[in-house]
Amino acid sequence: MRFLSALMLTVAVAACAVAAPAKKGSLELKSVTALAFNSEGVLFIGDSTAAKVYAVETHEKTDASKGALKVEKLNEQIGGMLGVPAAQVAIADVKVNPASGTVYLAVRRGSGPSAAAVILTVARNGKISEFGLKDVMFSVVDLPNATDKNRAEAITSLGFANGKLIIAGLANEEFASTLRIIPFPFGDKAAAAGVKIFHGAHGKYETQAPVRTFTTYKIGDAEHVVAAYTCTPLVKFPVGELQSGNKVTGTTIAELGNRNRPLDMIVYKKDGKDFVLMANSARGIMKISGDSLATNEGITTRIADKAGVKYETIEGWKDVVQLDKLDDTHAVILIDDKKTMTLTSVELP
Amino acid sequence: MFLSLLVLLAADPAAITLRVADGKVVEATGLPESFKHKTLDDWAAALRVVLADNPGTALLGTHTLADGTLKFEPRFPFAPGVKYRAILTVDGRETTHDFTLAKPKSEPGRVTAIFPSGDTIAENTLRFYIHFSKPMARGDIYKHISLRNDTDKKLVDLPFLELEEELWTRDQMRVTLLIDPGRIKREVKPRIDLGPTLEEGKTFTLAVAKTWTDGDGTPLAAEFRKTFKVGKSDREAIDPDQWTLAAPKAGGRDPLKLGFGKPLDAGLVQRLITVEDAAGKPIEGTITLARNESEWSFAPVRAWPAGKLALRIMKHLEDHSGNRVGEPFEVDLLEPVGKPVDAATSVTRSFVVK
Repeated sequence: MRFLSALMLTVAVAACAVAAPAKKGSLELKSVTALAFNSEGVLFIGDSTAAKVYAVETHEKTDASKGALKVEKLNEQIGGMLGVPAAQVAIADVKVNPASGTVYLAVRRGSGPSAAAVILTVARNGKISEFGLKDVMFSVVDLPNATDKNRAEAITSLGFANGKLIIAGLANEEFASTLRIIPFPFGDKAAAAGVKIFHGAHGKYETQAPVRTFTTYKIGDAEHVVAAYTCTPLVKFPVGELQSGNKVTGTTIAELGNRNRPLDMIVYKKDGKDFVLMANSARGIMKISGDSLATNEGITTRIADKAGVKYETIEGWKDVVQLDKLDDTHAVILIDDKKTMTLTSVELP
Repeated sequence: MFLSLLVLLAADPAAITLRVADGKVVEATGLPESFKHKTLDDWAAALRVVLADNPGTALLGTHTLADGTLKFEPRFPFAPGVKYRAILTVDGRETTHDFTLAKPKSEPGRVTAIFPSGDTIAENTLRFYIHFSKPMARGDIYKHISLRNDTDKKLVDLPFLELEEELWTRDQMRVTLLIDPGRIKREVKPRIDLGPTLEEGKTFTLAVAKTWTDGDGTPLAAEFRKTFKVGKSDREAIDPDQWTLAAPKAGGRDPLKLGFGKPLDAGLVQRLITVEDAAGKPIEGTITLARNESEWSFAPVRAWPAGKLALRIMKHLEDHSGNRVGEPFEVDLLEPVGKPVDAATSVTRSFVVK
């Protein structure tokens, strides 16, 4: 008992977001900071400025896109399309529609408060198009404090598992974590449960820390969230237990150490085994064995460097800022070397 | 016969004009009659608008033809200061028109305040707010901000949590910086390896470089520096029962005054403490902070009613170190506070106005 490894999760607020059923209409994004898909090709769009998450039907056909992908000077091309220099283009997220294989980009044009938000698609032949938001079937969830003058919440990551949308956010005022879980389709009176995540991984102290990025991963029959925190630990907790009234125990599985800014994560299967890939500001791409995620009992003592699960660093993948699974054997990665951006498919290691 | 018809239909190059109407729409006139019968794709191929230094990619937009004028409206408005080129290709002949919208003249912005405002701040300070006089540019902000350890004469390496989302207000006039929490929390690896970012007893300077531009691309008027001493860590929960409270007199509009005993978060304290009347309805008024966010006063819009009133304090109110109402930033699991799990989101403290 000297050092505790448990994470304590308690469901805090019964209703902190309001949703409405799908309707046909046009969307005007105020910002876009995160994207996600469910397996049927519904695109979830996190609009931090509007404090909303939209769910949009893409109606894309299965396997519309196949083959390798490489787009060089992506930011210049997008800048050319949107009418601004490449430096005024920011790509907040890259996600692949699992229903079609098309790559979606969350793009900001400009840097002032009136900067535009746009969703672009990239086909395997490199053709970039706008994903139009006029006359689409969509539904929406409002996050709290949408109208407060100063308080805003950056939606840092979106994910989908067990029929539920998971929203990770970081507020510009209070630090306490806000992870929200909402069933999809958003019902008439659907409400997202806000989950407080106490972080007790470090030994005797625990805090309510925000999740930086996460992915979902099946361990046995249970979907889990594998999440990276702002203070660098990697943790897992079961999605099924994130319900009102439950007290959930999760586990810290690795400490990443200083200078490690977790950027993005995916899970994939290779040669019958599961792996997690994490893009990271300091260590490049980390590859973590799923077996050790499933069996790791958590860090229970003060830890040496690279403690917890075993991982390897994938050489040759430099400056990767975004990644997503393209198909069973490939990932798509966004490389930003601060001069130019490249979007390319790579074989999963 | 066929030849002469071609000549007749060919464009008169002298008659073709390209212009930008109201800085919004590119218009081509003097086109040959045959243009009417062409398709949308043909129009799009004939009139392209590009960035002058990136001519390979055409701007997204809409083409229309009416009364002999081919128009192109860009998907997003033309940006001031960017050099565009309209290229019209008719019968293999190219006409171009370069244009740049003038940038609006704007006064350079400046830093108006940094919170915490005190000259001495806690070693485990979690959050700074930087306020600007006008909306600033987002994206890549961390290169403009530095933290220097003046006592040891060295720059602090990666002092802030660098989030690509950046924590702005909607008007982009205030940005939040978080000190890397891995350097604040005890027993996490970054702190074990490197120690805390701010060190008690030492002097630091937070600098905002002049290179930071506003939303229109104009740099700040001047660099801004805030020098402060670092004091003891604050690991105590906020306890509203310990606040000093000076109740105003009924019938007047003198402010209600609170003394927190320590500085609280400058952003949260403006919206998470409200004053309620006997029926629990919020009373309208103006909040003023003093003494480095450790004092709060509330001047009502209408005169104070007599009777029992209450302060409502949301439990997610924090101080500069992330300690909350009834709950410190770090809960010591080995010394449980013994409080039952409390689902309430706020606490109240009543006072009497006579």
